[in-house]
Amino acid sequence: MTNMEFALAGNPNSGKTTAFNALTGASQYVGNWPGVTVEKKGGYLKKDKSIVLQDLPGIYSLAPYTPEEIVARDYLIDAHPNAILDIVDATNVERNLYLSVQLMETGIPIVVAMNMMDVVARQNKQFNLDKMAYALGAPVVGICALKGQGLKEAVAKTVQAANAEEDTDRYPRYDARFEAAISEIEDIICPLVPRDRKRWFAIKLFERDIKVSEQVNLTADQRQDVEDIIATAEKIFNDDSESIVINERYALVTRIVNLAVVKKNDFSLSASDKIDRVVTNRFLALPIFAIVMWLVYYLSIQTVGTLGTDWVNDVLFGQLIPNTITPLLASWHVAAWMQGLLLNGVIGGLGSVIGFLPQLIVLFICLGILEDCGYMARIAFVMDRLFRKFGLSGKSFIPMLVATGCGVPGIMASRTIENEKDRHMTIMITTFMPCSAKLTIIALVAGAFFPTSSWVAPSAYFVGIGAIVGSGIFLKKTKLFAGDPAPFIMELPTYHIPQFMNVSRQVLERSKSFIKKAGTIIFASCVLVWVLSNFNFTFQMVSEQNSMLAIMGSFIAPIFVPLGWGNWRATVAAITGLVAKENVVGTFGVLFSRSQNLAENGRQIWPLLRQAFTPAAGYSFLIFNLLCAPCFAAIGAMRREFGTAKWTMTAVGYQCSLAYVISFIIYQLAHWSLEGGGFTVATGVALAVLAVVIYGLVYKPKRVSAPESLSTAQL
Amino acid sequence: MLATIVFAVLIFGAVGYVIWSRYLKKDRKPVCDGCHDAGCPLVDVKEHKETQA
Repeated sequence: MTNMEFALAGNPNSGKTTAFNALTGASQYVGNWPGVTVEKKGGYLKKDKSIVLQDLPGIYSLAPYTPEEIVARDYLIDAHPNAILDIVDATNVERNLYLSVQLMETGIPIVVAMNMMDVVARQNKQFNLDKMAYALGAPVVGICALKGQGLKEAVAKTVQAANAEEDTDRYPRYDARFEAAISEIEDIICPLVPRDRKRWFAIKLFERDIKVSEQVNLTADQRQDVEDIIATAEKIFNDDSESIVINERYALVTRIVNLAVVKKNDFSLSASDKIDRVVTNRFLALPIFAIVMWLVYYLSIQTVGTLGTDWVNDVLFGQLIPNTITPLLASWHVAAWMQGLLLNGVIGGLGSVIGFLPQLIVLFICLGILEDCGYMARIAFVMDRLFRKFGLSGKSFIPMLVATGCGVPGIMASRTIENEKDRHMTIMITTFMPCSAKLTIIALVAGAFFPTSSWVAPSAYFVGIGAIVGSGIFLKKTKLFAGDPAPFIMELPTYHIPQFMNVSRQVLERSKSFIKKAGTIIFASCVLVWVLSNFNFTFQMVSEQNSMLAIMGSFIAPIFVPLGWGNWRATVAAITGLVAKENVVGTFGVLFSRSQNLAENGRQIWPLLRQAFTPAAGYSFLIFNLLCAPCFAAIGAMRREFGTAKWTMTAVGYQCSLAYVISFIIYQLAHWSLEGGGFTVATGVALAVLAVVIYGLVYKPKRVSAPESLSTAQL
Repeated sequence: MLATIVFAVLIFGAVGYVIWSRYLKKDRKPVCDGCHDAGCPLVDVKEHKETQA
């Protein structure tokens, strides 16, 4: 039975979702960059199931400018929760309190939870929370959401605030002349709006908020009266109405901060600032990022992760499971075809996918640490510099960071981009980032064809970023996407030691979902692949070459001959990858296990892959699968976000075409120059296509944007 | 023979269940488990709509 509903509000990256997880026991994704929470999310309090907590998206104000602000504002005003627990980042108290003051204007009881008090202490700052509560007119509690400290008290105070009698002191009070104007507007709108929200509506009307003006049914006379009041105030303050309100709020915040904040040392650089001078340096930032990502992939694919993968492949799926199951099946007189299905289809297929789990776990740990310590947020900032040169906003990089886990939430995160053209382009190119499912393909190709090269795995990551930047440059020159990049303002979180709980939760959730996916979709796909590769169209068991899969694969395979891997097995693997990218590896596991009668996986199929393709073809296969259409789940998310099938088809068509072109160029040129292949017509075509691609990137078109879309700087 | 039948029922039954629950069932879970567990906004939107209904 739900008795009360609290809203968890605050600036982006102030720790709301961390507090939400700690209070509700949920495991919502916590990203150490702004914009992780796109929609509000609800959960019951762990300690009191009668209270629902709504985690709102991070916002800076209650103005209806961004999708996050609209979601938060609509909820606060329409649903009117019993109280607000306002999470304030104590390291940026001035800007955070600006939102607190606006939240108080709604008339909803509020409790301010000052988060990251431990970081503040290290910055030689002190707060007098009692003075702050007095100046603000609302309870203030010090918390540390990461460590779960102070949350109990914060909830208790919120319950108390929700149960308290309504009193006028809960509203922030501004300059007397401004208050007089607001009071007069309140008198006019009193019968038209809920009584407890009349002050909020009055302030919004004073700001000339278009949405509120439309919402409140004022008569023409009333509208004129309100306009007269605003005009008088503007004359008195010698400023426009919106600026008057902003100035009043900031004046109040300054008074509160002056009263409650004791700064012991204002002018020294914090450790975080010192690190940023190097890490975000104009010249060093990108090389440092390249080294960090190389190290991440080197650790996960080449060294530490490989130790675990070797054991899973060689011992678990190489000896223990087959050696246990084979005699058992024989003793139970299981039919030969069923033994084949179990050993080659299920164990061979699933084993080849699950074998990569140790490598994935190391990758998840590395990415989790980079995220949690605050480094990945810097990458969005660094990328903004790079992206902006090519007409893209750094805001587009946030969905791409999210997409390194899974493409679906990455695509969803593009909702935070207001500019429709930029949003569409971001949706289209976000899945070029290698998600965790694609890592299995990277590990397979790197292990099979380049076991001693440490550059192959990280190169896949950089090819993804290269495809994004290249697409940004090219697409921005087309009429569909032309326009100036949206401004990107991002607050960089303070560096901190990664929290074990945050990182481990992320690793656990991602690993769990990988195993779950292997046990469901990958399992079903492996069985279907095995059946299709063992039976013909009349359902008679035949040799692999005469199977349904071989016939269907051979029909499509010629398309991929110019890419170097035009055989039916690779073709089928690439197509099954549309169901889930792990299927690429699972399909190879099933097909090669059967052809060599191996009940094994991973390393055992590497020599067979080397026989089937040259390294150039292997790399071309990897790049095609990285850049081509994502899995069905991601395509579905694209469809939902675009809203039209036409846009979705355009995006999928672009992704597949780009994947084909890049793989073609890579294979033809690498085969000719590195593998001693002859210079053929295809090599010449590849050179010509490369020239066209370069021309497409460097040519400067006539301005294609409409004059009204030009920025004020251009006008 | 019996073991073969039992395995066939288990394996093909499981495959059928996966296909039905992931692709055919009316109120099916999203195909990506990770997103569901990690709080994908798609799931929340769906749950929010269900709560409102």
